Amino acid sequence: MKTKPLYWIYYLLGWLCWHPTPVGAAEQGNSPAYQRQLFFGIALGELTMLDQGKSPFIYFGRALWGMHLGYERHTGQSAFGIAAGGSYGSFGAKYHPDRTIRLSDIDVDGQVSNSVIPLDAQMASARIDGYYLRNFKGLSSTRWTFQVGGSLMDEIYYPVDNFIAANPTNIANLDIQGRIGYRVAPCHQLSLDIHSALLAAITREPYDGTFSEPGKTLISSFFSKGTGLYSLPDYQKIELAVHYGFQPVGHLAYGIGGDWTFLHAARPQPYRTLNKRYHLSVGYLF
Amino acid sequence: MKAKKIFLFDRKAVLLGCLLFCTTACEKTWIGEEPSSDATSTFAYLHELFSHHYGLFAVKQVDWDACYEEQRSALTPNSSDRDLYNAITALLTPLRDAHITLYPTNAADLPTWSIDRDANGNFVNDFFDLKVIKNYIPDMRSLQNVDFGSKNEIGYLHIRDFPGNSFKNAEKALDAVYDSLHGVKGLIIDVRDNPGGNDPIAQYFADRLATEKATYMYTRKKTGRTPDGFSAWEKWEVNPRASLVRPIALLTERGTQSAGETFTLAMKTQSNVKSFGGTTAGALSDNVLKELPNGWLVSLSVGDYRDGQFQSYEGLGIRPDEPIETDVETLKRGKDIVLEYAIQYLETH
Repeated sequence: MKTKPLYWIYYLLGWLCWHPTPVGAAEQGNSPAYQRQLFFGIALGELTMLDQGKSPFIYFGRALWGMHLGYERHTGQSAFGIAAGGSYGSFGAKYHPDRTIRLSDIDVDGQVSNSVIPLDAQMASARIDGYYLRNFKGLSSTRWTFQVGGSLMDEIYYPVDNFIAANPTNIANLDIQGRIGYRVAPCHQLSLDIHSALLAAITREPYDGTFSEPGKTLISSFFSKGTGLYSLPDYQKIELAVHYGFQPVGHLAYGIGGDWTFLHAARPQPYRTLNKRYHLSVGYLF
Repeated sequence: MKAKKIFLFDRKAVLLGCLLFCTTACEKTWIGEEPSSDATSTFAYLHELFSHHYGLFAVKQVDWDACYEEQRSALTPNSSDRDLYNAITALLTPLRDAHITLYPTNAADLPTWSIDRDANGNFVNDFFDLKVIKNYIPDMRSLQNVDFGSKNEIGYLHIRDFPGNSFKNAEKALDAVYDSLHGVKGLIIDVRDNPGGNDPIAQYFADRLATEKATYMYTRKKTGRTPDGFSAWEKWEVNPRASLVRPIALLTERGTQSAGETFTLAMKTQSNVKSFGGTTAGALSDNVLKELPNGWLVSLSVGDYRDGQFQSYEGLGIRPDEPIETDVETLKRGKDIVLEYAIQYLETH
């Protein structure tokens, strides 16, 4: 398969934290000190998508490069974070690459004009998310921390060229989130975040695939006609994120990590995505 | 102590297991599989696709399932691309829909197919040439998607299409047209090679050019596979914002398609508008592009569009008030007979 070798390059190049862990704080025991951190990261991801209302094909964002900026605040009892980022990369039918579409016209003088348009295109995405977590005091120890809370996330996917079988999609989620932290060694911390969606507002192509309404622009019709509220059983989203944080000395902290998200919206016709991202980040602790 | 080590090992194993599962989980488990791409599967997929999304079976009185059964017998899973192409085009031809286009994307020897294309897949433009218009209106200007000018107090406005995501470009173009043509005594609006665009943009153009409020169109879209699976009817109105009342000659032809036709419906509600030329394409509905399992693309009409009296023109086209025969040879000689009729009409009204 054409993309398989690249898949493993992602592992080598990627792995950075979406939420770098404040290892300096965790080092101090099961009651971390108040700490604030600003972090910046780069990411490499891949997006696999099946939109059965639009196409029978599995679509694939082959190498979506991105960056993000965020802020985290930890107290002994809670954690709060907010991050924003974006990515950009090629996008096309996974098992039918390099297709083209030929358009031709013949003018009044008999001259034929042909244009060949590639069906593979580019995909841009932007994401903003925030979370708030509280400690489970009884479960935490010097090595382990257990936290639970909620998060809000909005993510938009925008295929840049025409003639691609995907349309802009905006997904806003309210999630329940849990975090397990494990202090591997002084200055080294591993954490696992688990999200599951409670409610989502998804804006995407409606069943008929069009956005023309009297007196409305495409964009206003996209939001008014294409937006639906989703919850179980019509909608499932699971996100898992693994992070490894390292704070060698001073104010700087480094992180590597990856996250994996599966999403399924059952209506108007099944829509599924599988999103994998690998991150590297550097943070400044105030 | 031993028990603690086992406990820690188990928890690490869970973490590692989660990580491994996330990053290497089988795509098919989560995303699903693509359908088979052989000829019969592709043909069946197309039939089902149209059953779900095509909005005009009832209007065109086509028994889709019967047509499918008739053509399906010609195919086997091993049928060639050519055989599949022939079966699909035979299935789609009775729909008489210029909005249906088949793009055999990975079969170089098979041309793009639509009822308004020739055997080589070319769309023949033999009814309009802007160079010929300049023989009549030498001081033509172009802005955004319009060309405009005037001669002897007759204004000319050619609308190439109705593109864009906002009304701002349309507003800018029409402001320039009004600035340029405010003194004319009659206006020619030419949409003969207008392939369409966005209906709300066409509605905006009609608002700016019309003088009477009117309901010009009702639309509904497919919402499911059943024959009555449609959205509620949506009403489209002209809300006039024209600053001057003047006679208008509207020029149409078979190259007037889609939003070009909904614009035509809107303008034909106006008592000061008379249309000349040829019958429009008869493809008013919005269309969407879908993919087939073998990689080909097909576009189809997803709506049911009617005029203000619920009359459908799908597959038939909108006839002009004054049909005028023209031919490519006349156009090649630099004469536009339809335009000449329109000028003559406006000079005498």
